[in-house]
Amino acid sequence: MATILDIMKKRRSIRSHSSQPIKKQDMERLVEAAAWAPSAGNSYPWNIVIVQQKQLLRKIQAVSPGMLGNPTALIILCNDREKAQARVGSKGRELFCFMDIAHAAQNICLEATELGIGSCLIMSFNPDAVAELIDLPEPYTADYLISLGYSKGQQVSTKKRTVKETILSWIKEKNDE
Amino acid sequence: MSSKEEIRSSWLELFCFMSSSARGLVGEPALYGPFRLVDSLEKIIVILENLGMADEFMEKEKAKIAEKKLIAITDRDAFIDFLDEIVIDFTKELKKAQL
Ligand SMILES: Cc1cc2nc3c(=O)[nH]c(=O)nc-3n(C[C@H](O)[C@H](O)[C@H](O)COP(=O)(O)O)c2cc1C
Repeated sequence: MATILDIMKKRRSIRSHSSQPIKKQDMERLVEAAAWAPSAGNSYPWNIVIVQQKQLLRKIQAVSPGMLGNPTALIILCNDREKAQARVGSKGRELFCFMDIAHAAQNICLEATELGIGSCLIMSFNPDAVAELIDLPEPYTADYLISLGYSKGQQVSTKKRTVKETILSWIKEKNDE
Repeated sequence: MSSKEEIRSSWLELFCFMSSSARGLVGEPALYGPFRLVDSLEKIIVILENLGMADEFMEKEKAKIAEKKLIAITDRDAFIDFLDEIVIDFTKELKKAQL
């Protein structure tokens, strides 16, 4: 059985997918993975919009220059920053809500990897244009996209930093190994 | 692609791509600019292809861009070499053309 670290290493940004649509039960697993992410002050100021309609995907892709390839689905993580403000204050509104969706996004990508779904996180998109296309209700903002599709293509980047390269300093007791 | 409506929609798609790229690039890394431009080139060739107006040369360039553009994410120098290559490809073709 794959360990969590195996799955983490297998997760890479995939920008080429098969045309097979993602099954409902797989999509629900991805949403469940997101729902289990931590959230500052247990506030969960975000919700998810799922798009699996070809026409709309193309239109969203047109206003999302960072959305590459031919994904068959998109998850849009949307914050309600007023809720974040009400629950965890100004830091919640300016910072924590974005950290929250990043945690949720990573959970989605890891679960997608386990299900054989290629994913790619996208920040190069126009949030107002995406909100317009999906008729996003106020006060939600479209803050993070994840493109999805059953894997076909290879990942682009190959190298990762080593443990040594990653650590800036390791402050420990003298006698500890 | 046949109807005027379809042709209009595919150009609109490109206009959205180019305008949202322009807006996004205000705050994005410098190298994303060249990347979006070659991505636009590929998209323009696809439109011409759908209109039955792309020739063998354009299709070859489209395939080359599709294959090599993502190197921008991992290898800046290789991406710049690729840009040099397509500039010369297009220039050689222009040299032969009658303006
Ligand atoms: C905050 C964030 C924004 C990103 N935006 C984009 C994007 O707009 N388009 C894209 O293709 N990849 C995007 N990526 C994916 C990165 O390019 C990718 O994670 C990185 O190159 C490492 O490769 P790997 O994911 O295969 O390990 C983004 C990643 C993160 C974390």
